[in-house]
Amino acid sequence: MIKKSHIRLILLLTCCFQIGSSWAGSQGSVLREDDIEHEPGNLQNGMRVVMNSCTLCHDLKYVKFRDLAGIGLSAESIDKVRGVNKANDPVLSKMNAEQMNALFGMTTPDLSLMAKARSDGAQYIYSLLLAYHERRDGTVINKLYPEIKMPDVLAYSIESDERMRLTMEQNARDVAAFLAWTADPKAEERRTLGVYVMLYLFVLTYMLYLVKQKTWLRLKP
Amino acid sequence: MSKVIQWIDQRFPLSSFVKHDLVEYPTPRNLSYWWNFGFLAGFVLVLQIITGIFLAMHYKPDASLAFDSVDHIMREVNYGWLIRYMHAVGASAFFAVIYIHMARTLYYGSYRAPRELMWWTGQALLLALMATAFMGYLLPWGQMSFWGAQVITSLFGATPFIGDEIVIWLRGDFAVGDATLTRFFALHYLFPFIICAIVIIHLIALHHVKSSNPSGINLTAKDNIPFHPYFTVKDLFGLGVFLIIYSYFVFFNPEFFIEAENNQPANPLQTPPHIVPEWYFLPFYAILRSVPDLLGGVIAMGLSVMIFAAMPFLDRSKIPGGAKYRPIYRAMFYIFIIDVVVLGYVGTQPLTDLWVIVGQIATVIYFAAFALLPFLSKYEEKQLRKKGLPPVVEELIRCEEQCGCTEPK
Repeated sequence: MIKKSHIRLILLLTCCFQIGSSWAGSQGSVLREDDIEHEPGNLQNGMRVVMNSCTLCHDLKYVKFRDLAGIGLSAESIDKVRGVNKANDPVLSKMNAEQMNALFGMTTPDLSLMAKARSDGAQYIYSLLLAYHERRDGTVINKLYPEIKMPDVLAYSIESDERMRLTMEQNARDVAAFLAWTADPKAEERRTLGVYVMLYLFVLTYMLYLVKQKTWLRLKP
Repeated sequence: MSKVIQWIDQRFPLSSFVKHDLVEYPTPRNLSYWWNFGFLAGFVLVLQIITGIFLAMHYKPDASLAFDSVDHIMREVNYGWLIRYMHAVGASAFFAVIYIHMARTLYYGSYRAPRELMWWTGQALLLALMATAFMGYLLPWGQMSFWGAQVITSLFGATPFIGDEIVIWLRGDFAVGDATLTRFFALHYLFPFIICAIVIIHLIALHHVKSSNPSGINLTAKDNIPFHPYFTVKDLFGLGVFLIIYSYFVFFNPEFFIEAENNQPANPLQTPPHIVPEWYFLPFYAILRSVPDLLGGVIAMGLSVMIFAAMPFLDRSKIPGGAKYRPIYRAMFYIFIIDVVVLGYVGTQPLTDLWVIVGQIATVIYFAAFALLPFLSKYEEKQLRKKGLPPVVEELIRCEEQCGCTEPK
């Protein structure tokens, strides 16, 4: 039973929000829309790219090597990845702060939480990695974040071979997937537990509803 | 067992308290589900205190350790992620429940005699809750935590003559820093217990004047039913529905209420592009920004929170049943609610010409609703009495006069 006045109210509110969102849309976000898959294969490929390229300059200080078991790596694979590091060591950059400062004039941001530190983080990381373009004068800019100090690590802007470009795009997707995992490694455990909690609550609430109905029947004359 | 209770009863009124205030406590039978939200607020308070105490066991209130310790809770502590997300979502749930509780009071006119003290202790609870939430938001020591605290504490600088001194006194330093974090932690731990104390006063007042009800007058004894089992079970069912919504956010969308920016550690040298408070402060923040003068803005913001306390004086109508039988008041109520939503949306937007104007219009409507209420409520009552009240209302008023049940028994 929705009254006419309520319908009018809802219409008015929707109008307000539509004006708002169309205005927000004109602010110009250039995120690429793409399906980022979070299968173990994707995460492990992403991890390889991150370990080989990103950690040259970036820390992932909240991730320890032993945590990589969470994306399905075996103890031997983790040993290979960590090299001389201990399993309980955090994943740190191969450069120290001084070297970073000399190279970029700033300390590079830690990547462990990056996928949560930007809105729509995984899409943002994926888009950022592929937003590099070579201009006519040969300089390369990042269209998504022009002030960025990071070079085109994947060399996407100068690659013309279509097959290589597809591989790079896949790598960018997998890096985004891996960083989404490092930012929220408990996501899967949380969702699994959440399903049980919800099922329990639905049954409990339904039973409480029945008890309530039955109790209140006593008041009927 | 009964001997133990007997022993206690001779020394402390345990059985009679349980009987009088929990079991037989007379409650109007016509209470709708809108009357569930006080109980829900109490539940969330307990939930916040329990999760908060467990968080405090692993949290470090130190500017160099705070952010890392929160991440430690998220990754290393057993079910730390669950406790932290319960606490973070719990803060939003608390405000949602309290705002609905307030809206119900406004709609049904439950703030009117003899319940003014309930409304005013509620106002004190709202202030204490806001202070607690604000200080708690600094503790994760993210970018938004830091800059939010920076902005809000600097507002006190608008105080004439001693503004700068007050800001330094609040922060414990010249800028928000380690001293601020440590004192906010101490006070964030203290305030919930002050809230508990005010809740007890709120409940003692409630059990003296009894619950209001949708008809707007005190009902005769035959219309009251014992609290247990009727309202214990009704409240528990409401709690189930609440927990389903709450758990959706905790388990499937826990970062919904957390600004992405706050997952970056606080950096005093880098101001975020635009600083947004938590959603529950947005309408008041929008009012602050709508006034061109800083001192004026701070006063308007303070007034916008405190003005609710004036409601028992502003509403001059004696028509019972709140907005139900009062068309003008009902229209004002809905306009006010929409206005608050609009203000909240304006609060999220950067200050462009358009949003400044929208914010200013909404601010004027916000205060106009309160300023016009004395005149409109008087006028409305006169008109309604001239036209003749609906038979139901006449019946209610006559019944009230006959059995004199305006006085709580």
